[in-house]
Amino acid sequence: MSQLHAALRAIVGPEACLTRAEELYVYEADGLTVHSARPSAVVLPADTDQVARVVRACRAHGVPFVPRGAGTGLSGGAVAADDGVIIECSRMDRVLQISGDDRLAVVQPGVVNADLSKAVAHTGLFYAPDPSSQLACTLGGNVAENSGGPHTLKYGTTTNHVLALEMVLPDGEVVRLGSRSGHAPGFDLVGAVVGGEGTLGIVTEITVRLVPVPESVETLLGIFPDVVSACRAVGAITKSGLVPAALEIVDRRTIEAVEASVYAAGLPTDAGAVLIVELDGPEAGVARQVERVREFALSHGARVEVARDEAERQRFWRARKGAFGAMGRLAPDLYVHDAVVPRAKLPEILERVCEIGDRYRLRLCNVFHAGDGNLHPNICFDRRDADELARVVAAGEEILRTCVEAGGVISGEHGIGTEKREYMPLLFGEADLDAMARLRESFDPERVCNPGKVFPSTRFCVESNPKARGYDRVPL
Amino acid sequence: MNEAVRDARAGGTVSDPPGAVAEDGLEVAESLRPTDAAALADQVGDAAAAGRALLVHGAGTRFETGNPALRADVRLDTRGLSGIDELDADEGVVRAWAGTPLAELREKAVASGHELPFDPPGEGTLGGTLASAAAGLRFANVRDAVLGLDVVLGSGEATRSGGRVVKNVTGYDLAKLHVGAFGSLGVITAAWIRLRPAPEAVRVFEGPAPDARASLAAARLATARAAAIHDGRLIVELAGDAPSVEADRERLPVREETAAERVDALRDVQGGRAVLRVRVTGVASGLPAAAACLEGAGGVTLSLPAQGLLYAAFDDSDPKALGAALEAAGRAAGLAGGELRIERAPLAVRRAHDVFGDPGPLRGIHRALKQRFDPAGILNPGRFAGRL
Ligand SMILES: Cc1cc2nc3c(=O)[nH]c(=O)nc-3n(C[C@H](O)[C@H](O)[C@H](O)COP(=O)(O)OP(=O)(O)OC[C@H]3O[C@@H](n4cnc5c(N)ncnc54)[C@H](O)[C@@H]3O)c2cc1C
Repeated sequence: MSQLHAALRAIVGPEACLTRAEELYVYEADGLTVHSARPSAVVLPADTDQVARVVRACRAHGVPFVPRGAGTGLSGGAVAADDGVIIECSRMDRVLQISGDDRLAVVQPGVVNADLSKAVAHTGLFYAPDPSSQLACTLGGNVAENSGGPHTLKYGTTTNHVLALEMVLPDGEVVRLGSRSGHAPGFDLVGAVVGGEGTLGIVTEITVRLVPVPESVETLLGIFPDVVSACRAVGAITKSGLVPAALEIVDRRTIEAVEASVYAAGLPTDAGAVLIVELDGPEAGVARQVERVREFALSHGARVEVARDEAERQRFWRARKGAFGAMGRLAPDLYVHDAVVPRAKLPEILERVCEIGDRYRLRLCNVFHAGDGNLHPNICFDRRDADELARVVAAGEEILRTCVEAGGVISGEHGIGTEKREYMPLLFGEADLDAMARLRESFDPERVCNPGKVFPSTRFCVESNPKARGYDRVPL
Repeated sequence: MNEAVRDARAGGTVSDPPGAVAEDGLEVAESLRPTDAAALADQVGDAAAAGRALLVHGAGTRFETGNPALRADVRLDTRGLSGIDELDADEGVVRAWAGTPLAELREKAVASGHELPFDPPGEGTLGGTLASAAAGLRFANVRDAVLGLDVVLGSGEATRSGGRVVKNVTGYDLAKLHVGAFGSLGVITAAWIRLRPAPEAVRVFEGPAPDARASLAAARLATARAAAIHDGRLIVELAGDAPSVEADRERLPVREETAAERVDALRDVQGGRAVLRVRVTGVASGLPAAAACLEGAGGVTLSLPAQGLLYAAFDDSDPKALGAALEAAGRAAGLAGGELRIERAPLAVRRAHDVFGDPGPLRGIHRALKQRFDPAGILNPGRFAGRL
């Protein structure tokens, strides 16, 4: 290993190669604290060429490697296989090109999501995917996880905004995928790599689509007696053909936590749920949409406030965005779950999720992207308490099974990583996983790039969904 | 269970691809039209075992696009797998079989208060639209509407990826790989599609095309669903809520109101039966020069500035003229900052040029994917990019 370390130091320089235990400690986990492993080294390359040489050095020494951005991932994706090398892209953080005319930007993978929109603001454009972690997470991580955010309801996820990539393949070759025009010849390799969870190579440059800042934005806060009526209102709004920019629900348990914290947004703590609706677009249309949404909310028993200014708008969003922080203060660890169900199933599933949390004696609350049916049950816990940790894991599995039974899936935006790999057979049969392996092996036949992710460890021995087998499978 | 249907070759209808196959100089003896996915998987599996090459097609409306097939033993027609499996109007999603005619899907989508997110030229099938990622005037990115896909791989396995929900990162996004792969990695058997809410108001306006900048600005209006420049005219379709459409109408540089069919008619240029038809993609700022280049070479063009798409048709079949047109098309792609695709051309041209454009340094990955998804090389051999 020391030979590899010497080779890595020679490539990136001694100050950009971390090998001491105290330096490696912070790299043992990502945002999901329950899965950890110690890397053998962390390198911080400065450019594509260094990435390629690091990859080739790892190959020569038979050591696996894993790309990493800011480490905010919530599925264990950026954690090294034991003794693997972490290639952290944070030093590659330049915005290389901005074209307002062509509505695109070219960035390095270490650019922080929120910084990109700031950098392009003068063009009247912005980068639409906005994960709640956008002040920290990087574009490289966003590409790998196909990240979403509150505004994906209208604008789509990362995959809808990536035009082209430069990447270092797992054998060290540098290639360019896609096209600035968005229509490259051959297979849609960009489409395959976005959401590839860092297992298909290391992305070193990203060309993204930019979209115009809407002419007008209005934000409404609906205060509902209970979460079921909030969900019904969401159903009524989406069914009506309205496409709000965001439709987010915060449940009573979260409101209590937020209001008891420094993030307090002045929400009534007796509310059963609040719904944040953001509408954007041409001014003429938005004004009428606000009225329509207000009526839907009122007819489902809500009190409705419309933000009068930016300060008030920020206050509404604080209820949503402060949730993680507020929950994080209640216990040392926070488990942020992620699953998706058809929207119509939300009321029923939420009830069951809360029941599961109670049954396992856990502090569980929900903030979620209601318009997409994307649930985020949050559980605060203390991982040093082995019994509590076991209950967190068991409850998580039950929640996922419940969502799958309702026609849903086990991740809407955080990815599979190590966290959910063993649950993949809940949704996919042997042939389906094998098809994914074919893609994986086309890029990385020896599975040296971010091994131990996405695929179940003991393939196909986890009890699989009987519905997920054979030709007579019911449609998902 | 396998229903082998002898090829009817009925009266040269558009739904009949043999013309294209005959042009490829190949005789296809047998035609299969399985009526369920299990039968289709069996047939693909049998073909793989026997090394029989399959030409996969739906209604055949896009069959003209592709390199000449290297081998073709059996025609595999997906139209036996037809119909809507489930339409969830509340959620705005539909699952349908690959052979379902787009017309049928469109009708059901509209009846449920939605619209279909595809409008390619010609009346094809769902499977063919996905396999060819067939852009229309309004919707250029077919891939974005696909939520889940059932695919029989070249090795005969029936596989599934994605699902019915609108947001999903559970496993790799394999649908992306099959959409636009022209059936070279697998045969699409069914799909979950996200419908779009039907717009409240749709209005179409046209007039003499203003300069490039003004045309682009019009094409980028918030409610501009389709915008095309053709024959010196700018045609814009506004769609959305009534007040927004009304507001955008005020901003349009063209004022003559016309019928929605005007937009549909443009698809005849986009998918017309010229001797040579090419598609040039590019960035917005590069398209005008590319269009001028194509017109200078005698091409009839259709430009979709907001989509970065440019089509040109050439009608002179003289080999010298064809050569000049192709040369201009290559230059146009350079000017546009994008790529050239030959969508329709005589056999000699398709023999001489990879119609999709060569994958270049990505040839290795293309080959690796082909080998793993279609190890016996029986799916549309030779037809896709890189002549895979
Ligand atoms: C408070 C909080 C809120 C969040 N909210 C959201 C949300 O709203 N929506 C959402 O989708 N996610 C959310 N996340 C999850 C997370 O922020 C995203 O997954 C994010 O994209 C990860 O970016 P990162 O830079 O931190 O990547 P990392 O965690 O460092 O890595 C994530 C994955 O990307 C891979 N990777 C990183 N860089 C590269 C590269 N250059 N090339 C190839 N692969 C690479 C890694 O190998 C790993 O598999 C949230 C997380 C937190 C902690």
